[in-house]
Amino acid sequence: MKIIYSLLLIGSLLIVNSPAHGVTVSCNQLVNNAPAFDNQKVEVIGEVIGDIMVRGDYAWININGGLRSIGVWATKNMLNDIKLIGDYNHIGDRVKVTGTFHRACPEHGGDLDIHAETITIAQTGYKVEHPIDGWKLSLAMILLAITLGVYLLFVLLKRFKP
Amino acid sequence: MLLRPTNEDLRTIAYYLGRLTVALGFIFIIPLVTALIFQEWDQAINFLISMLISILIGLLLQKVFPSTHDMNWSQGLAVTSLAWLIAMFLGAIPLYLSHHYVSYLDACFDAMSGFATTGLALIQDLDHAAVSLNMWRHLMMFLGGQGIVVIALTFLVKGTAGAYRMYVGEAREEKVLPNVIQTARFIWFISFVYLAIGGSLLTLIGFLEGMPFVRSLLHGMWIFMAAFDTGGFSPQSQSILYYHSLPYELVTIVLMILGTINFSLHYALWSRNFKEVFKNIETRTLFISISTLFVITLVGLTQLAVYPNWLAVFRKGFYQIISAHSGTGFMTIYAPQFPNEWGGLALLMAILAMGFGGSACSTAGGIKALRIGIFYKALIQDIKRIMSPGTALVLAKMHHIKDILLEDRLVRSAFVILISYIVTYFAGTIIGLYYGYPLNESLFESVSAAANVGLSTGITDAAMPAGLKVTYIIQMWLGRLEFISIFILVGLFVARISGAQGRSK
Repeated sequence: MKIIYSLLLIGSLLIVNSPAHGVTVSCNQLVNNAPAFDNQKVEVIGEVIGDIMVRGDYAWININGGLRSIGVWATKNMLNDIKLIGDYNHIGDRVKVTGTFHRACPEHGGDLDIHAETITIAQTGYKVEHPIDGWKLSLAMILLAITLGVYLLFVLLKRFKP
Repeated sequence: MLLRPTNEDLRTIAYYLGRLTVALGFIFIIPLVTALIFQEWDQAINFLISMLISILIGLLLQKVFPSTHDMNWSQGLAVTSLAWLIAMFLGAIPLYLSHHYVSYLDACFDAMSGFATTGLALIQDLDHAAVSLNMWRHLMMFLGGQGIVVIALTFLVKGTAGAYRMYVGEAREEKVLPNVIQTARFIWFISFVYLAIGGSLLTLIGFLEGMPFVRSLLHGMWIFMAAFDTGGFSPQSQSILYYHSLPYELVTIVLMILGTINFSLHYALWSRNFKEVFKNIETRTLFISISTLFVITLVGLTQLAVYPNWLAVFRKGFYQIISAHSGTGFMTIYAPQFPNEWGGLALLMAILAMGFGGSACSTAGGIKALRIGIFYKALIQDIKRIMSPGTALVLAKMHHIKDILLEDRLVRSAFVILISYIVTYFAGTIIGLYYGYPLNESLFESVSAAANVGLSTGITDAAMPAGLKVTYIIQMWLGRLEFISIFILVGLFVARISGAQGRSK
């Protein structure tokens, strides 16, 4: 039944997408229906997160498609335009990756990955501010005062205990 | 007949809980300082709030319920089981305040998962989590793996009989050294030695594999904590798959195996008693169990042609089996790949590996190799007894640090825990089925939670029913403390209501 659903899903996606650019799918769809997409040309959009891990002339990036992240194997040159990588302080560049999807890549020890053919910037990333919530600051000050007060009270009680 | 705990009993429990709570409060300094170093001011406030709440509660408990008594058995075990609940509620505060959790229940789930070294996680958007938040998540695993009580024994509580009773309550009935405080300090010592070696290796590999130095250092330290303490949290949502690195996987395999070895065996190795590795019933049982389960997994995976070559079978099949057996929960595949691709045979082997677990007196969970070894020896002894003449005395021996005669008392205590684990595994499965999940996935997730593993088929998700979240929290708590101290806590509660007057022993 799962295979039929997967075939229907791919079929419907093929209708609405240009075959020249592969099937546009989300990272979550790829992971959940990996056998159905195995060795297919796909197009995925996701935010670059973590690191660009250079390995010789190639590099690994991981892209976050919202619910899941997937590894993308690309030549170093393809990644030149990536300026921001997603972490606590940044929303990374969103990239459109076109390439071949592998459920269990024979070249990379069975990793579920995409071997990129093209990578383009879909949306540039930006810095994220994390302002301190006022109520948290007030709560911290109140707790500090109470804790110190309780500690001092107990110290004094111990000292003046008959 | 149960004796009703007196007010003095309850006061003693509250007093020692207060001491442990203060200790936990001071531990928040580590992520707080991390937040300050990385200028994560909002997170720093979260940790300050958590620290102050913990210290305040701890101070109040100590002063409102002063006690000079040492703990008896039931008090010591009750303190331990309650301490883990308090640690969960307090440890969840900075998680919830970080805005990475849908609810406080989800934060409690991750806090218990961290302290119990399980590794199942409900955190949202982990790939954008703060450095200090990841520091706290992994520190919970490190502290939980060593044992919350071990921390207190190291720094706060004198080496009394009561201290030993708390230590036992944390599923650590073996004293590595004659004194329980020395044992606690040895556990810390060995862990820091491995932290230095394992953390450095992972840092170096991470750096050589293309990560910036500071990130490779942080990841190296965190992954060490999660591997050696058989926890399984990771700083990125793809777990170990994020690194796409065979050397990284090999080092974590070694660390997971080290983490699943009994601390008594570590001490034997430290004392250059290398023969112990080959004679010990636990290492023998572990070796046989891992080999057998992997071979059958291999058959299952190759039968379905899941992986394209032997290297892939090793990096996916063997890695997941070691991760399951050691109770770590690191993954090099995605959760849905277990039910969708592995097939019934390999999936069952992963479930059995999780259920069996690692060594007693280690950071691993599950039934434990020692108990399975005892069960096997007792079975053989019984078969021999039946086949021997009626007057024959059939004795069985096993070697665990020293030669031990297999007595009925030993077999019984191993059997009680073994049965408790099996009942817990099935109870969680039934609840999973009640909520509409398939049998194989319900069983997998239930065993993963109760054996403190952390592998998942995808059931563990913020969208799962609250009842199932609470079920898994209880399973993680029961599994980590190995039942007895929690049974004693329930017994004390029942006795308080319906027990006879008198003082508990």
